[in-house]
Amino acid sequence: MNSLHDIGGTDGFGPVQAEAEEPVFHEPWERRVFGMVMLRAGDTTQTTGDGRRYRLERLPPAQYLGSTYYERWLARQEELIIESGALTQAEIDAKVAQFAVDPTMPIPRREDPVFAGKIARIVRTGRPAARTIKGKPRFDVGDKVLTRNLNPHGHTRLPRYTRNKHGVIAAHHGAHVFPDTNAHGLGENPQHLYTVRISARELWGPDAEPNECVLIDMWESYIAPDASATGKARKAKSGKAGGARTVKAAKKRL
Amino acid sequence: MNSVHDIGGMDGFGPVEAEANEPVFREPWEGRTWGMLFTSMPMIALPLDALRHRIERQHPVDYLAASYYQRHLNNLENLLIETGILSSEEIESRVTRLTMTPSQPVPRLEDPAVAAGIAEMLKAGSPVTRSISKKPRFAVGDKIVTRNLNPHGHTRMPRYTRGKKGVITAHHGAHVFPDTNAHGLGENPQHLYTVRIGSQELWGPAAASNECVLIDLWESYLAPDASATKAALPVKPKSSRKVAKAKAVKAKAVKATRPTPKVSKGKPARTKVAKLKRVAQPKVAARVSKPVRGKAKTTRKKSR
Repeated sequence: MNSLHDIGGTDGFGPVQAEAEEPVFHEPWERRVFGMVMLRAGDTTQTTGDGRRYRLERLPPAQYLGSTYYERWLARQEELIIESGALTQAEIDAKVAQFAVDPTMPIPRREDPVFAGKIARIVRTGRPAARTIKGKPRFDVGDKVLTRNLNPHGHTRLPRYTRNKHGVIAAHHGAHVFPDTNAHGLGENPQHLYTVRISARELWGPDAEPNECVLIDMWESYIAPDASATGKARKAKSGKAGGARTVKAAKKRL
Repeated sequence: MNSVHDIGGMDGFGPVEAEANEPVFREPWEGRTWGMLFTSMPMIALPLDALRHRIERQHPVDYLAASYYQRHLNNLENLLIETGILSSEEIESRVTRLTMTPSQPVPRLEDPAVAAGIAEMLKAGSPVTRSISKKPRFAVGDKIVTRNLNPHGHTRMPRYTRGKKGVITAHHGAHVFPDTNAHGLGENPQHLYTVRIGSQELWGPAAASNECVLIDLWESYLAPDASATKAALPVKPKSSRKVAKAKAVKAKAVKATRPTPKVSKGKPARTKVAKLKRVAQPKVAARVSKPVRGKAKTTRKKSR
């Protein structure tokens, strides 16, 4: 979906403020939210990582932009807990009100070393999305491509500003789980993943820097061969004005 | 600028809630804000385009969380502070005082002459049409491609309509150009057109095939659609305008394919291109009338 989380190329947010010696968590509650999310505390839905990311994108636009990273995570975790049926919104609100009145109230604590060990492993190793597939990659490094103009209502990893742009394949990363289906419980459908290089001028027009580019990872179904570039390549190979296609290309240049 | 105000094509805001018998103002303060805006305009002395750009520059979160008149009110407060008419302390103290005693009477200024002036302005609007000597570059029916412009300043070309192919469906004469006017860089009036862009061009093959967007765009936002110009060539020119276009293309073609020894004995790569062009040439020539050929010759002479 084309939601506000897709801020690539959007002005008005001010400079990026790089923090020297940035801590992993700015507040103790952020650490706790991270733990809750890793534990999938109270969340028995079968939501995938992609599906959870899609949930963040669906937060109301003003709330999304007004929240910090972990505030968004917390909002989503509450949503998942409520959907799972583990807690109701009223129960969460009541507990929050209790803590507001008495901040020293002890926080419930559960010790489960086996589970804790499992979580520690997941945090260290991550959950690789690389898969092995039979289908050969459609593109080679150096191939000229045109990104598709896709505007799905669901989840996608193709930002708006990179759609319908000419680029070049800069790397191939093997096959990876396809987030656009995986987010919706429609299967992993792994596809070849590439890094595509798109020049700043292609993205932002003639006023952009001539020597800048964006390198972005894209799944194979986001990309089509660049027809204009293929035409030129064929002409160079055949070496003469044979096909109707070549003549057309020549006419175009007229 | 590409700010979050440019929500064309954005999902996630939920359905548009059309209100039956929608009042002009939902709350009394909205009407008052509107009035304040109009009475302050002469003091602020900024064109509407500049006011609009200021609203776009509100912080994204504030912008999205605010209602239409809240944005106007924020904008007006900042303007009155910046122009030195009020200080933020004065505004704050007044707000505090009114919060403490909401029944406190609101100061009232009676000035029938100013009131009449504003009423007149509201009725007449402030037209942005202008007369310019420059002829329009495009005619109704012309195929165009919108430019991929991403200015840091104000623009009236939404992001989702950039780099798209469309057709001119109307010409509205010349209008003040907001992109310069918003920044005090002059009115620079330009021809304004309505452009039709197909939904599939905007949103890809999954979009409805019979839907389109009609959008008003200034001339400098547009370029001729080069691919369409060539495709249109085989059609017999009907209007004088089309003939003029064909003339221009023919003139170019003759210039490029002039069979001088230099070209044929030059770099191999160029020869190949020249040959290819000659293959295409007869078709082009067949569609060009005699006077056009004369024109082409003139061009050739000039080029020497």
